[in-house]
Amino acid sequence: MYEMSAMIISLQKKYLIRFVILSSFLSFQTLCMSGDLKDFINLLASGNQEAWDIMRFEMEQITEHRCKEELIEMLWVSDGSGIPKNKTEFFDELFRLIREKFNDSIPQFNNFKELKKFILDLSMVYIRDGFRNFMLLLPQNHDRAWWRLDKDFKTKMIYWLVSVKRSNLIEAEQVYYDSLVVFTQAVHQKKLDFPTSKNLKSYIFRIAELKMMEMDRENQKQEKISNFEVHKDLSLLDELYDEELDNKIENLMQQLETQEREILFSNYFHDENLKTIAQRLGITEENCRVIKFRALKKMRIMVKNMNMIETWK
Amino acid sequence: MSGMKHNFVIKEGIIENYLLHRLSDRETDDFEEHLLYCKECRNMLAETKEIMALTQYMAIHSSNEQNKEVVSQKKISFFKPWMRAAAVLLLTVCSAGIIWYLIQKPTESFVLNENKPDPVKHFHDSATFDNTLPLKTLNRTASTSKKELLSDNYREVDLYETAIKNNLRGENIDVISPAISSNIALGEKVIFTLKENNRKILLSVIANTGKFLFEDTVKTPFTLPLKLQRGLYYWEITENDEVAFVSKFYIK
Repeated sequence: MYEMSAMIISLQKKYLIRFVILSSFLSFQTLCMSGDLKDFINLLASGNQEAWDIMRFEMEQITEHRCKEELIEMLWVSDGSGIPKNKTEFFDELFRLIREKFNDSIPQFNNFKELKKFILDLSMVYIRDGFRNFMLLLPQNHDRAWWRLDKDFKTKMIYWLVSVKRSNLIEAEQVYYDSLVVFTQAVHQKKLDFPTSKNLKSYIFRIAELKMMEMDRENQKQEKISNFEVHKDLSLLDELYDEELDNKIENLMQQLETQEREILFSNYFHDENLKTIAQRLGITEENCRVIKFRALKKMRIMVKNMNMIETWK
Repeated sequence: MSGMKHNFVIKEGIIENYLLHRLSDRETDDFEEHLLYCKECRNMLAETKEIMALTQYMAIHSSNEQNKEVVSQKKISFFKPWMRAAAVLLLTVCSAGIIWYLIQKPTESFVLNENKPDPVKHFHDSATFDNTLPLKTLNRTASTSKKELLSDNYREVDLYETAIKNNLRGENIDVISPAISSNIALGEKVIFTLKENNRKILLSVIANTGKFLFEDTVKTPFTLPLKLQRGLYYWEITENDEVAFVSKFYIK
């Protein structure tokens, strides 16, 4: 009798656990189907791991998108203890702050805009305050701060010079190093004060603009250079030089036909729309779209073969 | 409210425009809200981001090659007018010299021929000897080029081979025919059959040169309305703008 009852209890326990797991899974499924923000917040409050993973993804996208729009550098921050090594470290810290806020009291959001504002308020304050600390480190010749500045600036400036100014990599590198020398001297001689990283960026970009003009004068170029204009930051590169990728790049380039390459570069790098590209190449817009679609197919296979992305769960 | 509808995101290329900052503030908000509830879009966003980053990397690193072409064009334009005039003068002098030489040549050869053996006999002797050689070499080159052509038709393409090895996202696609690496006789019909009948798929058939021979949405089972020559052919099924399955067959 005793054995029977013990068995029944153990069976009940087993099914209870299964029921709990199933119900939490179903609640998540219904959230995905219903798309209700309140359900999502409730899941966050209950500590659902999947919901928090989505929250992290959302936080990364929203913050990165806003920073690019405002031309702000995310990673130029320091909280006194150090400087983030990469995006992951930066977002880890930001994510910790958001979770802390949730632990204090669960915020109420009536719509998605309020949730977005909550994330952006936190991240922008973190970036603004972090940047002030970061700027204090530069005159002290802080290794890590200069390393971070050099790495990001190089990527951004070379991207800008090649994509917008249509310069080549060798010229762009020269202009970058010349500008950095001038900027380093200015940091040590004057007391430079920039409220945001955007101001600092436009200061160095201005130096680069002048260096470009000097270089063009030496090369006897007759073209006039336009004034510095704040350009959209479309760069998605974290690394400008990657040995592994360099070894593969020639093979990758061969997989794409000349026209496919031209269309992808123009669209994703020089920020031209398909209509302009089609007119330049003397083909119809529809044809251009088909070629791009084929090129993207190939690129998808390449990216997957290189295991560049972890599938997002 | 879930912001945007999934079909709208796919149809309007919202993900790409989001990354290129081409959406309005409202569209951006709507799409970001949609991301909360759509796993597929989150995956696609991560993937598109990587593709764009790779494209940008390639564009920067190939900028030097493009510039070489521009530089060589510029060098030509740096030629000064007097140099151009000198070149034209040199050309006219040279061409005049050649014309003069050609006019003079027949008379010279006529004088020399007087001491030579009978030209007709000489022609026959040389013809029997000379003509055989080129014919042999011609035949040899023709046969080798045919072999080369055949081997070219069966040459494998790394891109598709690795895709087949990894077999992307083909878990939910059960292919019955043509089986992977199957041999199909020349002239025989190529029939694409899945376990699931009447399934709509975007089918592409690609020659090993990378040329797309066929690309259309079809219902399974489907007979390919093309006469294929001997060679290696790759085929793929695309679902939601993504390659879902890649395979190959030989026509022998």
